[in-house]
Amino acid sequence: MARVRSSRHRAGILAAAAVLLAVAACRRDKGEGELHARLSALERETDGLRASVQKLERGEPILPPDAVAIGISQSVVKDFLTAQLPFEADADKFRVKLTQGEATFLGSPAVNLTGSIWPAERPNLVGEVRVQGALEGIQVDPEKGTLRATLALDHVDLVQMGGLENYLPAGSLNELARRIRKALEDRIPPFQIPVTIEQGVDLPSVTDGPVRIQGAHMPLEVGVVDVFTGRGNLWIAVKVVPGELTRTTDKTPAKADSPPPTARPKAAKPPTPAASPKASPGSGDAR
Amino acid sequence: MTARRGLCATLVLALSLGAGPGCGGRKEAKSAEEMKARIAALEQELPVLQQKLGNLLETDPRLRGMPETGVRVGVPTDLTRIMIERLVTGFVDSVTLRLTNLKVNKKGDVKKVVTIGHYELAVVIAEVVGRLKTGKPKVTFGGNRIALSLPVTVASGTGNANINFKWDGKNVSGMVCGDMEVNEDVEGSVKPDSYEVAGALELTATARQILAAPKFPVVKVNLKVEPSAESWADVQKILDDKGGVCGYVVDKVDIRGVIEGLVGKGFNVRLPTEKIKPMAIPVGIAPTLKVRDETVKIGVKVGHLVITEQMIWLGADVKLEEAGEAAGAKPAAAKPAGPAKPKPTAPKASPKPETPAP
Repeated sequence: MARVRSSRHRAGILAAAAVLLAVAACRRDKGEGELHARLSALERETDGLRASVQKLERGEPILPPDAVAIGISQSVVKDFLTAQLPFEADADKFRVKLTQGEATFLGSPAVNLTGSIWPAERPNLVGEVRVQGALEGIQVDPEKGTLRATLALDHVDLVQMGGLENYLPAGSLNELARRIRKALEDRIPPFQIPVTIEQGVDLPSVTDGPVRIQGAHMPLEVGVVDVFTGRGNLWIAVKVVPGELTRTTDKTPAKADSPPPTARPKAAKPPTPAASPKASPGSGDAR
Repeated sequence: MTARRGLCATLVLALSLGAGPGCGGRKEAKSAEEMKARIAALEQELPVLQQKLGNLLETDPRLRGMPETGVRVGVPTDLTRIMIERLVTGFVDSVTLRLTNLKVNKKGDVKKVVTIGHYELAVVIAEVVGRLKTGKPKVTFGGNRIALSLPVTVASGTGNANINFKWDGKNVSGMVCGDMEVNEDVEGSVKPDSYEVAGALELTATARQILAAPKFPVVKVNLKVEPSAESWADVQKILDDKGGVCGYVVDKVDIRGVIEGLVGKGFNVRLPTEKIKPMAIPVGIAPTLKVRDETVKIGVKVGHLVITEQMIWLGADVKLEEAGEAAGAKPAAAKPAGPAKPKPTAPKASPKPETPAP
């Protein structure tokens, strides 16, 4: 019993000392974390809006005029996001499980994820985590022909840590949040946007009857060239460059009910490296 | 409680050891007051920018007619035009008209006071092959319609035929020029000719893609075959060898004239415009989303297509489906076009040549 008491006593002293050290090291309070999160989000949005407004004021089109424009509302993106959750990963010495997503497209493709966090070795101490970021590097997946994006994280907010937050100085929580953000950033999988951009069109051959048609294939070079966010929508500009029609050597007679010229779901060759424009210029100062 | 306290101590120690440089090391760090001031300024600027953006976007002609749906796809008409031009040109230029075993014939009596005999002239075209070529199509957008016109030329081709002339002499002539038969294989070429083909592309949309289906009125190409000079010379030589009554018969029947009359009118072939399958404009919504090992079905309700001078807009409402929900999406067509919508041609598997024209 005396040993237990002694051990507790030592832990207490250690904790107190660490707290003092941590407080001295980080002067930020809990409110600062929230302020920082809000500031990051606002900076992203206003940067994005300013860039769009300046572009339009210069008389430039909001998206390249020769590109296919794909607009997706924030509610649809939220659905896509939710479908790709939960996401669970180790971050620092914690386990994070993100279960809900929100998308807000005012001036930047902002995304917020919420979920739970617990120390990897103490799964019973479940806390709440909020992750704030934005979609970036949108490109055409060369394998699937669909769009995909990475999630850049601006801020992680440890809303509560299963009661531990009462014992920890806010500065330490902020630092822990920063480390969790760093760890999570590399682990969050690409976000899939199930809009398909085909990479070729085929004309079937007809080899019977009085009219013969030689099959042909027209390759399409596709790549994301610009992204714009505003008024609750994410707009993705995809440049599609039709290639020269090449005759195919398919000798199979076409049936009456042969399928229409289909766009090829997969590229015969990898598409040109899709531009990975930043979803919005600059990010918060948390990066 | 003990566990929590122990954990707390560990956490705090770990954090305090790493936190110092981490917390204070942010070069962008601002004080709370600075951040509050910046937030206040940005919060004032944000609605102003949003309003400005909204106003500026209103003036963008490309956005006119844009649907108000969860997912929108806008394809520039310039891009569509390039694709249509390439595909249509490529399609027409790869069309070969191949007619086989075409038979034309003429029969009659030759009289000189009385009937001196009966003839039968049969031309069997074993094969005639013609190639089509096209010029640059003219593609126009607007009024929810894509109009298309293009010059189509029967550019080149060859053919081979058999000419068979049978004479059955009667009365006195039968004794002098009884039965005569001229049988000769000839070769020739297809006479170039041009046609203006005009129609429209009817757009329909499924969840997967926007399809542009060509709708053209019946287009007939007249394939004219012209025997080569060498072939004529061979036939003529045989005919010239016939003298006497036979020569008279040959002259009277005017075999060359009859052949030219029979073949010269050409052979009508209906262009299989229905074989031009709908062209896929290659943007659509994937029917499923693969998340780890699970497949999530995506329900798509396709809205109307809108075709303006600058853009083709397709709108769709999308929702993720629970297991068991139907994933089918009803195709949507462009809103009824105003003027002259051509009647869709009934698709036929294999159009037959309308032979012969004569």
